[in-house]
Amino acid sequence: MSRRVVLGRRGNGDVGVFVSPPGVDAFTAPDSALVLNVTSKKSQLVLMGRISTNGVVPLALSRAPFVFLTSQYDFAGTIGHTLGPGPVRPSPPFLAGAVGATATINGNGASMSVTLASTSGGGPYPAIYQVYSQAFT
Amino acid sequence: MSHARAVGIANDNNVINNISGTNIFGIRAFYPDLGYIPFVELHKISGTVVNDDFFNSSFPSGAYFQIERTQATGGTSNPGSPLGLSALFAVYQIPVPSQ
Repeated sequence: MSRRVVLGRRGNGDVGVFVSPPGVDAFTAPDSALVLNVTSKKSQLVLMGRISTNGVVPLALSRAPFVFLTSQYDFAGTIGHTLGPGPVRPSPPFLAGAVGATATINGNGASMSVTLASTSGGGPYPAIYQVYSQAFT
Repeated sequence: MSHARAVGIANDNNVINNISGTNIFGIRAFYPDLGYIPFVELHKISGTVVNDDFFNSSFPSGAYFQIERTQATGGTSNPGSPLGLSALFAVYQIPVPSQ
């Protein structure tokens, strides 16, 4: 008989509420086999934003957080791109002289200095940033 | 909202290939097996400077990481010794659609 519901810690160390379908052991099943999986994950998104000029973004954290940057680009004039600029992956776009955007974490997470991407044909390009609760220092 | 299932810093102190007897080093991130190939983000980090997909002038728009169930491998491949490169990574609890 399989365990259909686990409340607490299950086999892989995750803690939460886990429910499996009939015939599947909720204690040992991979995440993909569960019908319900409520657990506190490793990290949560705590801040998102867009920045269009090089500058400093206040974070007010006490440790350097995980930050992911995605630059924007405007393919206006290219057939099929009529809705204006937007995030582009990979970023920066693979164009001549591409230099990526960077976020330098200041003061153990007090703020971050964002330097935007550019290419030999233009820039700086705006960027989207995501800041997660997980720290890397 | 999707939560990161695993986060960490991967380094290039991993032998990812061997060509004619020479070890090839590259960045490899390890994470738990969720039972599927997950969506993964990897971005180069140097100290406290986080990059977008830019890796270096040879790989300005990303460094071709291969995402597998329990690891992601890529970055610059360097023969003989690692270059001391690192990447932040986050693994999301979202399966990559498979054929």
